[in-house]
Amino acid sequence: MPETSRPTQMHFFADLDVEILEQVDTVDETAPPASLWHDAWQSLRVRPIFWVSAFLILLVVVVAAVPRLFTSTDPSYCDLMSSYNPPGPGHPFGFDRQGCDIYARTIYGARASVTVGILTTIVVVVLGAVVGALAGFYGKWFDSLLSRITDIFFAIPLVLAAIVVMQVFATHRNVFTVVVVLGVFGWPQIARITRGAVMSVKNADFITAATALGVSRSRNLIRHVMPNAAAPIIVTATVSLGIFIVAEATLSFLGIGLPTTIVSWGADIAKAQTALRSQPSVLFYPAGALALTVLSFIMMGDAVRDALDPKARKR
Amino acid sequence: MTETTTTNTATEPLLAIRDLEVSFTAAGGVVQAVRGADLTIYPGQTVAIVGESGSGKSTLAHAIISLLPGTGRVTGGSIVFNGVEVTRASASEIVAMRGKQIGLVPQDPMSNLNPVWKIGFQVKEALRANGIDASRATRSTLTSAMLHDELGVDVAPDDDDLYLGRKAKAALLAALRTAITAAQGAEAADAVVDRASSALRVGATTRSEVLTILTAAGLPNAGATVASHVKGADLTDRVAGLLSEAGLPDAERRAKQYPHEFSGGMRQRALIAIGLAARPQLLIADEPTSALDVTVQRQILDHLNGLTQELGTAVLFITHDLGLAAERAEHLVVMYRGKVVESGPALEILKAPKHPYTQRLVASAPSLASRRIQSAKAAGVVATDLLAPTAGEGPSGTADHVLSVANLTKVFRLRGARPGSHTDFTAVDDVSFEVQRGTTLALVGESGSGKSTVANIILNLIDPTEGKVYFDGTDMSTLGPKDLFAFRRRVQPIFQNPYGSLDPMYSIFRTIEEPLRTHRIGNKASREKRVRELLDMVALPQTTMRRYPNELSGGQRQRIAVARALALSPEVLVCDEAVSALDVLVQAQILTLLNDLQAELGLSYLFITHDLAVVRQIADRVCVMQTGKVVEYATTDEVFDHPQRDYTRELLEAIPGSKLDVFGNASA
Amino acid sequence: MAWYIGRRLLQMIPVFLGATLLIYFMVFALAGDPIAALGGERGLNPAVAAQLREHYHLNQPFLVQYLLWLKGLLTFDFGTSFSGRPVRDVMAGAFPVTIQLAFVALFFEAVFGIAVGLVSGLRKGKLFDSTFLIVSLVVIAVPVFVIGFTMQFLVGVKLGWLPPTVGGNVNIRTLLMPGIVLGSVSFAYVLRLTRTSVAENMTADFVRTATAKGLTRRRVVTVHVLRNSLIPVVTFLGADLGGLMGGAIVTEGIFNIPGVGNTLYHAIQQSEAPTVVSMVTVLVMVYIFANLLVDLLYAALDPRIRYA
Repeated sequence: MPETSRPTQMHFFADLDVEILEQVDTVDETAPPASLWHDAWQSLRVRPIFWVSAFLILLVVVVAAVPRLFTSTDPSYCDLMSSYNPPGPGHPFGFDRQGCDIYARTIYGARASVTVGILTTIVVVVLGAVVGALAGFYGKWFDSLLSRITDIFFAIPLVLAAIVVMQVFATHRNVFTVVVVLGVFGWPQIARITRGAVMSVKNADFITAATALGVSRSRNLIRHVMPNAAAPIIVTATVSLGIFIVAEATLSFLGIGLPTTIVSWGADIAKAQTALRSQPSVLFYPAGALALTVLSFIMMGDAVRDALDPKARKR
Repeated sequence: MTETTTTNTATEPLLAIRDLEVSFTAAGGVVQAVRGADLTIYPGQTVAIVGESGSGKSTLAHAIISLLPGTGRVTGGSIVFNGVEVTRASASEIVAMRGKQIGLVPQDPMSNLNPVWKIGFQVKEALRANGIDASRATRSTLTSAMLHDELGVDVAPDDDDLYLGRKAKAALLAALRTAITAAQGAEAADAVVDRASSALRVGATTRSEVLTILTAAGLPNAGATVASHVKGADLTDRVAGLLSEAGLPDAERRAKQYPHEFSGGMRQRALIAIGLAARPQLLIADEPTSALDVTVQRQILDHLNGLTQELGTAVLFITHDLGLAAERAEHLVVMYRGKVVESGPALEILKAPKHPYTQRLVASAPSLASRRIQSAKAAGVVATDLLAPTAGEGPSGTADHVLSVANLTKVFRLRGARPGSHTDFTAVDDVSFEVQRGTTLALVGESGSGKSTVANIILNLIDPTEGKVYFDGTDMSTLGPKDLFAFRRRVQPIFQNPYGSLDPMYSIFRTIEEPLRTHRIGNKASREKRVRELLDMVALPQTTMRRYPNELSGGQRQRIAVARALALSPEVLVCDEAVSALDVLVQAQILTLLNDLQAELGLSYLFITHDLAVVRQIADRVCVMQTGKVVEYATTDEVFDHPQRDYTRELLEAIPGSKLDVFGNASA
Repeated sequence: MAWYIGRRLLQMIPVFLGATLLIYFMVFALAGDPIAALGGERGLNPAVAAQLREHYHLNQPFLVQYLLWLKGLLTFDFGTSFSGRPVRDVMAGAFPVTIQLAFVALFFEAVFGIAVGLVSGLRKGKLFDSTFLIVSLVVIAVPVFVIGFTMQFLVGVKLGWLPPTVGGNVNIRTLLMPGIVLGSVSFAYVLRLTRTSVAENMTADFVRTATAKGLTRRRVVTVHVLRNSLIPVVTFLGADLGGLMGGAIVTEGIFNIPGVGNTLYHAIQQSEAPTVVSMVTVLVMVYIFANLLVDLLYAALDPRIRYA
């Protein structure tokens, strides 16, 4: 078919005004430098869910640190005379069965939960990240050994193991025994995640390039691999913080967590069980405070995950 | 058959796109991906869209079958296909159009087949979804129309168009065997049956063709026998037929396999079978072969070309390679940043590009450049400005080999399924070559040729099983850890993927400074001075050093990688596919940079690539590898002018544009 | 395939030995003398105590104790509890109950988790998705015992739809509410996992190719998106089976179900060391085998996995 019969397919060219080339390969020299963390921050700061959870976390931490700022009532002062009394001036949530002020107990209960959550997470991240990083980076028999050890601790359910050990510690239960127990049985998850992240980073070209420069293996692991494997560890750690708070509450609920001398949400919830029928508010406040705390950490984890997700960032 | 749509006359476009605008809504606002594009395709015509990444070429193609990803929307203009306005068509109209009228062969064969379903199932789906009668060959509307016009014949369903089924094939072959054995003996029968068996393709050979083949094979009373057996194919037969039409050998067995059991080329053939399954009038081929080796690419495109011509299918071919586009299409559309900057007959554009962008593209495309050098040489023109500047002049006899490799062999031990069992895989097999100081040696080969393994051995990242690497005459295997550390300064790598070779957590300053710091060179101030110097050397502004890799384009990152490699003033750079991932124009810029640096600093390059076209522009000597072995080792001119081995010739022919005769009489 | 299973079984041996050693250590060694704890306030008759120590090899070195116990375990001899009842009988009473409960929970989380997750994934960012995303977050954040109380109170006591406690009356009707409570957290995880996986697969290249073939959306979703998205979900469900059985302590306590969790909890409180060790061991084995099953299932679902 001759070209002439196709009027729409003549040789056409656009005006010569199209911006060309040189600028394709130029840098915007005015913009501030943007590291990955900077990028992640940029995408975090526009998300309401981040600000909501950040505010809640901050609030809970402050409450845990200085509960006196929020109430002047002694949580351990209980007067049976005011058992199940409704809310009144200075006692916005009313009283529980023993006649303790529910508001004060809810405020003071934060400390146990937050301390256990944060300390356990630190223990777990240190243990898990070290084991996972070594297993993932050095591989071979070393990986087999560490992975089997991880499997052993993974195979025993966290709460079950904690109950068995806490029963042993019956005489000296405190925040630190709970942290040690949860930490010792809680690290395998972080270890697995770290191992996977390290394995996916260690074959990247920039690691090979660093090796070719003469950077040693251990330095490579610390300086290049770990910073790039940090994102999933941070996300998992944030979410686990919430999960550990739940675990502590569960132990206290079962009566083998923190001793009754320490005010804790889990123990208060357990006590409220019997009164649920007539006095739902006794259950509602500690349970609500606990749920809100855990929720804020999980939401934070979600928000950070989205911000650090390389797939979401690229393009 | 209700397949009586508008019969196109050849002057009426099959597809007409006018003023098309496509935008994406992103966090930062609306991004226009296509800005007022025009495109026309006539029935049976092949049109190519050429553009770099981000030019909007794929977006344009996806808009045609309304497959825009995510937030993509057509915001203006029109797409008229066969008289139907696609932008206003209902969802069900579009579903009806997909597959049946417009087929798609997507870009990446690795990700475009569902890994959990068998190949045959995925092809069968395309037949089922479009209600295709698998039993007989359907003629495309174009062929029917032409037959109607030219011969005045109305095309009625004809039993001669019935496909051969697998049971019929077995029965016919048995009949043939009996007949031939009776007439000529068992031995002759084996040969005849084998030949007939490979000629008869289940689900693809029609009854009339079967008759021809079997008559030729010597089957007595072939007409009646064939008519009684060939009753049409079922879906499974037709799937095998489609796959074998797409050039997949042993299609019946292959249809029962999963995608991961296929090589890239085979997957692409399966995708072509899917795209053409419902005999569409238009096939959109979106970079169908850019992920494949050049020789496979060539085979597949040749095959696709033949198939679409036979079926009268129009093709919209999308590619980044101008040479490839010009070779495969009669009409070119050049896109840049969402706009069509030039369109017209392919040869006209190659010979006389009007738009400055097209002009640069024509000047930079490696395939065209290497052709141009060849043509210039053939015409007796001394095209020095086109060739790599050679620092180490002439064969002066004083062989100064900065790097030499002798009898290098690397065997990888692959663990088998059983404990303790393993298979040995020889990735590099007895490879020897030398790199003369100040020159470039290109190591060329397709995937699996072992070229990257050689690079890793030279970089001392893995140990060879056998053989030696000599650097400046020193046997590398004798070096202790301390000497090895010092050696690292003298040989540096540049990798293929500019997105993976820079640590995203390091600023550009830290990235370039790292080698200096690692080797304890200078103090903080002198190191910073050196970093600035290096940035100047690779033609990036010094302010870049405060930035992070994710802020830079692919070309800029590759410049950073070059700067880092140069930080320790090495003597040899190992460039492992260093420009393969870059867009054509950026690729040309990096190649120029490498050439300039070589002239300036007297560097020696080991340039590892799959792309012979690039080799012509940069290398002094070429070493061609195939499955771990060196098949040819000579100067670049010798390899290009007088290739000694079939494999090298095949590689050379696979450079796109080999069929073009553009530069023979054109002034370069 | 056979080699793969063999290798996996081989890998299980050190995990099994390590886990049982750890459990045995926690129960028998960490606690000091388990017999001393038995007598309570008054203390045990010294003769009886000595007899018990002899019977449980408590005067042998720790490792010998463990090996003797392991030897019994291999012949399915779980020993007798301090109170004289064969541990095997104790377990035979408890395990069937918990297995039923775990399957109710698994069924609930699988069916609802996948269904809701699929719809959420297909309508990412829409109202349905946001609603259930919040629901899933709340379910994860609220401790299971609070959910348990609340449901028990509302559904069981106030509305009277389902029996609030189980007691000796174990059947599907009584186990329905405890099952839902037990599976609630996993339901949230299944929902989120399915949602992410579906949304990711919806943008996969092969889904676009399937659409380009001319398939209807319904077929694209069921054939290409759902099947691929279920691979990680099924893996999670398999691994969760072990977790559900071990994690039923709280739920069984609230609803008074005579299952493993309840029995175990009481055994722990009464320092019934032999019972505790054996039950936890069986739970660990369930977990390990569930994981093996998951690996095999994974290989069956995803043809890319090779047995190497």
